[in-house]
Amino acid sequence: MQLKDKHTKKEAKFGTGQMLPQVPCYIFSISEIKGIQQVNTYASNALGYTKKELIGKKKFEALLTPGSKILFQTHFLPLLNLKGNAEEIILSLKTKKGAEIPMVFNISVVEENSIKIFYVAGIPIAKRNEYEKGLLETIRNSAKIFSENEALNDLSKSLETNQLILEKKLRETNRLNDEHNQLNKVLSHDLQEPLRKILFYANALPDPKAKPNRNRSKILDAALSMRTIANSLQRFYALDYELKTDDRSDLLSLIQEAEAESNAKEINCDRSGLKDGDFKGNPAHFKGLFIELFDNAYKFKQISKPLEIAIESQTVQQNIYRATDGKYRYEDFLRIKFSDNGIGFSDHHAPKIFQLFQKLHPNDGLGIGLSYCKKIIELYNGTITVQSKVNVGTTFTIMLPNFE
Amino acid sequence: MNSEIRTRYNVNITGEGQQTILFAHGFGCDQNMWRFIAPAFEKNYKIVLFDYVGCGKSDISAYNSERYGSLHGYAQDILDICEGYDLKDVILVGHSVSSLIAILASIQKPDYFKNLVLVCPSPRFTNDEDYNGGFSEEDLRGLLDVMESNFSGWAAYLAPIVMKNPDLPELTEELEETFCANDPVIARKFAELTFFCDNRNDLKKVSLPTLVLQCSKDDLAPIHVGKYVSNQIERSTFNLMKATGHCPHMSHPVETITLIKAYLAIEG
Repeated sequence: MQLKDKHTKKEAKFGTGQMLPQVPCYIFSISEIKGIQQVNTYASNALGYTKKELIGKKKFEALLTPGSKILFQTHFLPLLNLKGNAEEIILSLKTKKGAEIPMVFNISVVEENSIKIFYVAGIPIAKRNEYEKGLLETIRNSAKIFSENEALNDLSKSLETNQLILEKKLRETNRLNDEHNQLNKVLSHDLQEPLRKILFYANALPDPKAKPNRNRSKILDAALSMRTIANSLQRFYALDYELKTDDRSDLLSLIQEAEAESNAKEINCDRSGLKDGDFKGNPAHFKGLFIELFDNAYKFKQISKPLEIAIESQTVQQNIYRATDGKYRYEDFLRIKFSDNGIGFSDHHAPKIFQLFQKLHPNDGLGIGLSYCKKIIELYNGTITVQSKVNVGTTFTIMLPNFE
Repeated sequence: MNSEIRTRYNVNITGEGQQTILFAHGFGCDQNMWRFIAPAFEKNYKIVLFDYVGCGKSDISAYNSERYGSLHGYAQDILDICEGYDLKDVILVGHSVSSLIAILASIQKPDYFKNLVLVCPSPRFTNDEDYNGGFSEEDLRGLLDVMESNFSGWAAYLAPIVMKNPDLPELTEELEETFCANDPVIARKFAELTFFCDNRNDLKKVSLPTLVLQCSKDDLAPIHVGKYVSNQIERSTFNLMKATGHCPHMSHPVETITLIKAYLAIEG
């Protein structure tokens, strides 16, 4: 009885007399240095602590759930320091037993003897919070129901698949179109010329004034040239029919083999930039590709300098959709850069060099090597581009899809 | 092309120099965040400012949830601007999550850029087995939850998380304004991308000379995180600032300008 009286007396000193301790809200005063200074009985009871356990022992943040603690420390504390008050802020308290009490708080800051004191008034909003969460849940659920509707889901899945197929088909069609146009040119022009010569010299054969041996060798040359063209074309088109396997290739060993098997001699090849090297693709195809690139670099080397080649590779993420607008999926690609210090060419020729039988420089080549490279890359759904500067060198950049 | 890009990203170009500096704003902000920094570079540089789609005065109709469900989609914004305006050898300055976006853009197209300046970078906010990002996953989920509870006025709360500076009260108002300009649904998605990202593996792929600016007291990106970023990037310079908080470009512009200029004097 005596104890109770003492207690009541203390409570009376706390401010507004008898009413305050049990008024159904949470009241704290908190020193920025010493933590909780005062707390009303209703709050300490609800939190499951005795006042002794709180006053001078705990900081306000220690009563918050982790998420609320971050929000308080990073958002509200600076706001309170800045403005001196914060209203209707929502934070969750944690009881001694670990239960969560969502609260709405008004907090104001008063400086007393140059120490900041935070006056905190809070009201539990478990119900309101539940209603709100319920509302949000309802919104989320209806969204979920909408998106999880089985038929819709299947439809969207098949749509996605179809879109991928469509994307491939679109690219395939573009490529085939392009190749057909080029083939048309080859058939109508490149093959016609040796044929014309064969006919011309063959016609001349019965002429008694003609020199049979010279004519014979011209006929043979033309026929051989035609065979080379035909073989290259055959190799080029055969790629379409070769089965793509699930083989994996290792870039470093491929490049070493290709360098050894190519016609290029006395190259200084820097492979230190090869960061990633394992990729999906038939090693035979890709060795062929790198042999072509080495040969190409050697053919167009500067006479005055030794040929230097630098090869780099790295995994980068890129949108897999290139032919479909507004579709995005970011996946791993292997990016390979193949650079030389050769004679180079003017950048506006760049699109031409991948075309069949296109030659920027007169030499004994056919002009099919880079078309072959491009075709391999495109069969694997990748891209190959080129950048070049006259007398500086040329860089080929290959982007190869490397994901399941 | 340019007018389309200009409207979509609210691109603003000023300055009298040839060398381009592109400033990329962080989460919850827009290009206004650079207003104390950009003028200091106008004499010698060409300044490019923009808003990511969904932020500031960008064209919100260009928002595509597939694209912006990944930080790569945001990196594409930067690449689009470089392509559209034919920008070469750009000095790319990114704040907070834009440090990561800048990194991703530079990995895709290293040729477009010359240097990176990363202000308060963090490649991952959550802790991992052997990595201390500063937060547990539960902390951050809780954070998003409480943010959602405070949803109607959440712009006001977000202001101080990035502005830990009680001395400049007008800054908070400015931030509240900026945050209000952002669509809350887009901003929340951006928040999730920011706080649940893990781009640690991308750091090693950065090939450009890079400056890391680290604040002394940063609740979001602590000092050891900034050091980690700098250690992972091969050609990087680490600078610990006197500035506190997560927005030195707003709270301590003079120090920020001085450090960037000093770095560019050597590197640029």
